[in-house]
Amino acid sequence: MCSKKDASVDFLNSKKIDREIKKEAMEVQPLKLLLLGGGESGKSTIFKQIISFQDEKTKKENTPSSDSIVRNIYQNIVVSIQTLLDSLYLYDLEISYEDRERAKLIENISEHLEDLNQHTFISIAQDLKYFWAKEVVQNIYNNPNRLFNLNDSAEYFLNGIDKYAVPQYKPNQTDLLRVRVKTTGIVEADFSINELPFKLIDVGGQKNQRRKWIHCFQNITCVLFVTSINDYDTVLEEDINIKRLDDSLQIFREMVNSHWFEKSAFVLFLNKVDLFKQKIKKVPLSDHLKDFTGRNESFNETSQFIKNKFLHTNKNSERFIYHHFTCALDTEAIEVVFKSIQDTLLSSITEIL
Amino acid sequence: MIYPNDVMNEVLRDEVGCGLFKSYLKTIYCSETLQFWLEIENFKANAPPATPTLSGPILAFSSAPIESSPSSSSSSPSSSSKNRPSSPSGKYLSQEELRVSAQNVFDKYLENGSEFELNIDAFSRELVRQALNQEIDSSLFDDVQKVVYESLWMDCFPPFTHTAAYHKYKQDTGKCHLPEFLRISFKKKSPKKDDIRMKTVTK
Repeated sequence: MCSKKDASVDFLNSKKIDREIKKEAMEVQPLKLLLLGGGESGKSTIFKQIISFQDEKTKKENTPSSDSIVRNIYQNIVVSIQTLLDSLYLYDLEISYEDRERAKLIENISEHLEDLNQHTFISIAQDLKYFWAKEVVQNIYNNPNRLFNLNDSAEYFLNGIDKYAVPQYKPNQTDLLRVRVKTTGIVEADFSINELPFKLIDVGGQKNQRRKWIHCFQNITCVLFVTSINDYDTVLEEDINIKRLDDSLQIFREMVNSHWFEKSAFVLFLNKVDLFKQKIKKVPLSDHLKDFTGRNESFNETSQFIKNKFLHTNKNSERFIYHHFTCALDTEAIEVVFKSIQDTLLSSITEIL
Repeated sequence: MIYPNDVMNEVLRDEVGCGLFKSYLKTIYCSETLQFWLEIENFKANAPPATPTLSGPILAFSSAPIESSPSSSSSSPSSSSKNRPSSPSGKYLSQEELRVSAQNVFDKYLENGSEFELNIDAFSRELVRQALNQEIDSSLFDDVQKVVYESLWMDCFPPFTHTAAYHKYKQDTGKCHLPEFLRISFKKKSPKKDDIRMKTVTK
């Protein structure tokens, strides 16, 4: 016989179990999309783009405040000019006494970037503009064999100094996409598409960050591998003895053949195609890839050659690798690509169900 | 205009805030950045200041008032700690001790493939490697610490401010509402500001 007390406990327990079952049913495992690739290949730009296609709440949670974007832009501009000024010394180029005084002003500020604010930036905006416009600086910048690394958005921001150097300046979407912040650690964003939960994961691409990647390898639905196709002539920032393209191919080979991703879909983004088109005119591909025998000026032949290098690293004949030539800044194009990835994933899920 | 790094500096200066930020960084596999930053603050306190050179960071180490500088650094805990009255020379570690401690930091955070390797470029790393063979002063890791600081405030701090833990902290402590005089770090300093120092982060 069961006492009144026992009955009520049973009742409560069964309620609890009901609740747990309900909760479990609601907590569907999210579809996990993982961005991988070397440093500065464009992972975070694609991350920002995918976030921008989602609802307002997701955007708000995963976008830095406008103030902090403005600060990042100022930081990017000062660092770019300082890099160019440093390279003047590197090339042993003479600059006048007056210029040296002006340069010192900028150097002082770049020494204390943690204090760079709008007021400071506006006060040196004319000096920054002055140096950027200088012929000798432009010559160095346009030299295809330049010895230093400037990020790809430097020119975009340097051409807009006037626009940024006003107190009421507010960053727009392009500014947000363009601003360079090196990713360290692992960034995640949760959102849902057609009621299905998604998790998008971004990582730092430099060699020294890859030890962290393993932490997010479990249960990945789809790997978005990003490579900057225009980097066939450059070396890694973190190790100048390694060519970026070789490094990217190497990690792609490891990832595409890794047991972690046996069941994951694979998408290859051959990114920065806009810069690639410009570069092949100035820097012959065959100078850097000796096995390339096609026409250096043909976009089709050069880009297909690099694409095949990637696809041939795949040892699993069962696996199909989707690939796209992209410019991560092109919102419409990325949206089309993302939609197609989304559709593929959703249809493969309904197949399983 | 309040800049996010001013808010971050305030968090770094506060033991509870710093602890919360540290726990958050662990969840995004990024705790080595703050760990390194704190260790260098400690290292700098035990090392003699750099001999000022003409192009070097004279400001940071001179005991003269900073009014003359176009870029005052009151809002940064890293700079304000430099402005602390330096301990008497007897309190610095010896060159041998400093070298051992600096080498440890290098092996732990900077060396290729090290356990807590930081996200820095090869050039910065090689500069420190060379400097390890010379007379060691408190500026040894300055450039690397600066890069790490940048990545803390540009990359890690903004998402931290979206966490529930941060919101609760903000409510509980009323922190992160900066006093007026801290908001514009560019303005000339009043003597008061020199008193703003980190309380607990050097451990």
